[in-house]
Amino acid sequence: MQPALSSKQKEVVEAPDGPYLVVASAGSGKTRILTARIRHLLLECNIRSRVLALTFTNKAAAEMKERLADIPELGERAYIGTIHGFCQSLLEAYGNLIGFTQAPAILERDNDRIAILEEVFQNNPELNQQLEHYPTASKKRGYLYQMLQKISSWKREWDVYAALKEGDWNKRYELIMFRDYEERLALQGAIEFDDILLLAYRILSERPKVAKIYQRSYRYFCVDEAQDLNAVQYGIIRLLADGSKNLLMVGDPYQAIYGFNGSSSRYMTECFVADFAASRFELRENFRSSKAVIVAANALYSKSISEENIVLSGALDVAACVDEAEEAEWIADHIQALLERSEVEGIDGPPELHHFAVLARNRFIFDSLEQELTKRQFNYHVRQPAGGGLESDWGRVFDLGLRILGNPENSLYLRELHKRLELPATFQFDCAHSVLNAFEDCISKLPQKWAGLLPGLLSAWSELEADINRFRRIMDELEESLSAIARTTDDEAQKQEFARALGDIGLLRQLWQNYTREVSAESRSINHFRNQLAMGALNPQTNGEGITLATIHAVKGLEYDVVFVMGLVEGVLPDYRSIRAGRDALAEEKNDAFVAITRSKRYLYLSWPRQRFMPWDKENPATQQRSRFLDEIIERVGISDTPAAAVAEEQKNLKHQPHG
Amino acid sequence: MSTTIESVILPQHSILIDQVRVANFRSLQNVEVPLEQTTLLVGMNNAGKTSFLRALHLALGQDRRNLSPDDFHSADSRQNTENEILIDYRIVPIDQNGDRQADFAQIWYDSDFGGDIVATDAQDWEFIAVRTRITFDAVKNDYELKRLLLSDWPDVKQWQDAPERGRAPRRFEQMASFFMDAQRDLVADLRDRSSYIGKLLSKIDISKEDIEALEAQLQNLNTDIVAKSEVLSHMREALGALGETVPSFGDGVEVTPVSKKVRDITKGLGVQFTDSSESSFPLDAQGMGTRSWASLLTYQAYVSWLARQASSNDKPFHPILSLEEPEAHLHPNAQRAVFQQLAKTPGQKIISTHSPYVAGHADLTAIRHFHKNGAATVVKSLPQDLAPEDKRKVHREVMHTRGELLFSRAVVLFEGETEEQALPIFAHRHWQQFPFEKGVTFVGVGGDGKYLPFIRTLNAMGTPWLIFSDGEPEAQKCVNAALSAIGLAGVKDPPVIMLPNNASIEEYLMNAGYRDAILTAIIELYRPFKGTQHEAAKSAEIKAWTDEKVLEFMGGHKTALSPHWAHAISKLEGERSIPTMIRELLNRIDSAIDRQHP
Repeated sequence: MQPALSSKQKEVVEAPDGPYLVVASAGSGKTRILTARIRHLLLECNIRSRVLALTFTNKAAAEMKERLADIPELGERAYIGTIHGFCQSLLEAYGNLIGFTQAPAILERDNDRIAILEEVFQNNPELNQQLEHYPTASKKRGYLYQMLQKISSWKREWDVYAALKEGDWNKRYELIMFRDYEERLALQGAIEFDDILLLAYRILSERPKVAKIYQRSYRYFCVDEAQDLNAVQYGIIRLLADGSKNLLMVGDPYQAIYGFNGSSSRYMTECFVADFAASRFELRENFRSSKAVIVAANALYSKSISEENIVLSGALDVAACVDEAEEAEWIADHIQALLERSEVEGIDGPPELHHFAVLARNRFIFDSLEQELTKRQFNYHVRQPAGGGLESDWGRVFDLGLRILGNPENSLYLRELHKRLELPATFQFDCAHSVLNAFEDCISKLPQKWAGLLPGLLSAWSELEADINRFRRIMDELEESLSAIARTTDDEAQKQEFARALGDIGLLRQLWQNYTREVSAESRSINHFRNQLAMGALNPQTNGEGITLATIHAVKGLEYDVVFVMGLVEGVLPDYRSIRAGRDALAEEKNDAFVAITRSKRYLYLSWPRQRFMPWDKENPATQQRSRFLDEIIERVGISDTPAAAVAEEQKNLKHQPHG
Repeated sequence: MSTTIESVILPQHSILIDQVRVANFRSLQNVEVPLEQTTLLVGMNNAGKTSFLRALHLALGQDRRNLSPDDFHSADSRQNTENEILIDYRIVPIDQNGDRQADFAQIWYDSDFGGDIVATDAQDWEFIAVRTRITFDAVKNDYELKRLLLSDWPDVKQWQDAPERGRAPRRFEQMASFFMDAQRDLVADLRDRSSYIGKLLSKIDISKEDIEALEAQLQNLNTDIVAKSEVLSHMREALGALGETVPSFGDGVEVTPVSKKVRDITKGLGVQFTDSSESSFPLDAQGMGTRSWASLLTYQAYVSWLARQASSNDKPFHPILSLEEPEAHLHPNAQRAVFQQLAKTPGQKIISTHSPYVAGHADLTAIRHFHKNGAATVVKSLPQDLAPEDKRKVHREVMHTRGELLFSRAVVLFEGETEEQALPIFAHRHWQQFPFEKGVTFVGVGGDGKYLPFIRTLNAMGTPWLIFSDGEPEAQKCVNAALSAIGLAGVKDPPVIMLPNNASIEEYLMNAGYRDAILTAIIELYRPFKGTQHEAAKSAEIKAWTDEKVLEFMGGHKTALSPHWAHAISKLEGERSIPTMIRELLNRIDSAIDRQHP
């Protein structure tokens, strides 16, 4: 049972129509307030009105929908989804107004984008000169990747993007690169992930009537995690809600960790307040974390969370370990110790593995811990950031085939297929009449490895083109035929490939299942399936069991009873690149630390290794320096990180806990 | 009843399905049909009117179970399920006068049209366009039906290329489509739970307390009847023996002459008509006309009930009635009455009719004319831009011909009443059939020779026409003015029969050597005579008239005389029975009709 809303929360939930900014600190019940507000709007304010609620992740949207599931006709009366998802449907519905007569294919893989950019450079002598500065293929690639990042960053700032489109840019080669790249995308009927938002913004700004249609459809607009808005996203929301004024933004500036994506909490705290004359609510009460956790969080940002009325005391422990192996052991020891207790403050029943999470700035930190957990036979999972992806060559070829069927004019995919199938340079796909015929023509030219596999793929593709709803059965057939071929091979490498391919089939099946759950039979199509995939809408929900291992960016909005934050050294958290960049980037690293700490409800363990081994030298460890953020915590809380002292402290704490 | 509905549906909620486009559905290979608040579909049997109504009903959310391979259009008699059936319709907001508006009312956004369903055109006028696409999968032997929203409503020439966007809802809850075919019958409806009265009765709303009270009364009634009937009491006792051998019967056997449950009572609901005498007749005993009309009335009852529900829930409501032949089994006067009653029913009505009485009452701009060109249906509207006076004139003529004009296969236009009297007589001689049986209508446009509104109307319907005109300079001028207005001036073989040598019809007949037959007609006009002597004297006197005198007389008695000379001439032997120019007229009608229906 949820406790009743506090009077402060209630004030937000039942506020009259109007624009509101709710600055809500970690653990103050953001999601709960937002859903309660929506419930209030739908059931009590105006029983006919509709609500548009935008989130940053599918997970947050799903959670909100689940909490509101009891409201009749929720699906008709509220759009609850990600900003990207909303913009994609806006683009599908009104793209024709800016010249898109068909839903464009979304180019989500960096490889595809790099290949296009490479063509752009190769086809322009001026640009090619730039590229020639980089002697090796991998250096060229690195440069192109950097340019892509640049293009992405331009696309996140509407003003910059507009300036480029207008040709108003001081670096000539950048302008040429940008324009040629955009042209090539347009030629292939493709757009980038970032373009979805830009195009949505364009539609809303060029055709105010569309914004008006949404304003008449939705009386209320809500934005979750508003501290993560970037310029284009804020622009979209501003245009959408402009006439209505009933815009609610909820967020926490201290949890803004996506600055590298162009987002800034300023859009919420400054632009929104100025543009809409929004009234401001502050929610500082903490309903999630123990005293120990809040003290640590406030050590980073003083008084960011109210320390009054905290029920649980919790525990905070800090350890300096000899190396990563010892750090892993220290964590595993604590998990084991807690698991052996029959009761832990604040947890109903005996503690279980799913109450634990280990967080780090990047996923390479987990190597030694994973070994240790495996050794002790603790079940764990690594939370996947959005993406997924097929592992085997076979899976990639299958996927390419789907893309080509859904988007036959895309020469890029054909070229990649050509490469993947290892076809001779002399062979050319002739897709003038039918893509599938063109595939068939290549069979005789295939190397032995593919000659046996392509016929199965071909029949799968043609069946899928005729009826995508046979997907599941086709997967079964492919699994059977691949297993049969696998049994006859002696080649170890081949066996590995087949094993991965079969794994991919399993993944595809799961993605398809998620797809069928979301989309009714009559609206399914190859292109739609692929696009949903690109949106990450079909990613398997990691309802992973056991201990959660995750990067800080993968656990936003989540909470755990016991949280370990490991690898707290300079260069990792803060990341060495941010140290070099300084200022905003560094401030955001601090937010990362803050987010990591505030994921904990009860117990918080912070650790760092004095030395680490680098991948290129397994003999000589490198000496590490304690994270500046950990310094702050140790200093302000007045706690020691020497192992002996930490253990003693731990023992003392445990003795104070009531048992039974 | 209709006033109740009108008061429920507020005008500011008004929407209209203003355009429907169909491809490859039965004979509808490619048609566009603009719709009004009341639209009348006219045309010959089998021209595609019912197909159109069915297509629209299908698009508005009826399920696909009624589809069959025959529904796919094919140019020849073979099935052509490879074709794809497309049915597009557009919804627009309108005001009380039926004029299109820019924005849908907020109440529609609050119910059915929320989200990104509404599209906007280049003028920022809102509309909703829905496409229904039906394909046949020969392997699965099943139909696939997809509903998609269109983001544009292009010119009719490219309509099938309209850009499609996301999925459309199967139907809009507050837009209900109703279909009533020509076979409707209240007696059958009462037995059918899916009929409108069946649906209405299934919603009988009696409070729980009332049901308990009523069922207690029913129980008493049963007990009384059984107690008072020796037969029933006996039966109950006999059946009661069952309880002794089969313990599960518990309390024994009940004999219930009347249903015990209120909900069962409505199943056997009867409708009785009581006339001025004492006795009442059950509906079964009524004629089909009454039963058909009664069935229509139950539709109105159902729709007004739904409208009231919507209104009390603060929701909009737009019923769309597709109705076949409201005139079925009804007397002409009743046909007019039923149409007028229908026209008053709110919501959108699309009515197919073969009744000139019904068509004659409709607004001409609301009429859609269906005819076949080979295997494919062609749909035409009457010109929307006639001057009010011309419109009245055409309408008057439609009424005058009792709407036959709308159902004609060919029309002959002329100025005067002489032709109106005479030409049908020669036509009968020519075809050995009355002109209306042949589908040919003779229309006098009035003395001032205003052919143009009729020509434009007929062109709009695609009905072939011919002008039959005097050769007098004034008459020629009228014809030429009309021809040049439609761009036919100076063409070879215009659709005109012009009497030669600037002759009036009377002069033409005299010149053609019909003096004897005309004299016979004049003598006929003097009947009755006071005796045979008188007759002989008068006849001799008339026969002695000079040609000038004959023509002068004919000029003075045009309309009185024309049926007589027409009859007299038509009784002549062989070729002479029809004057050459009139024969040419009739032959050209024959070939026009042949061209139309090879």
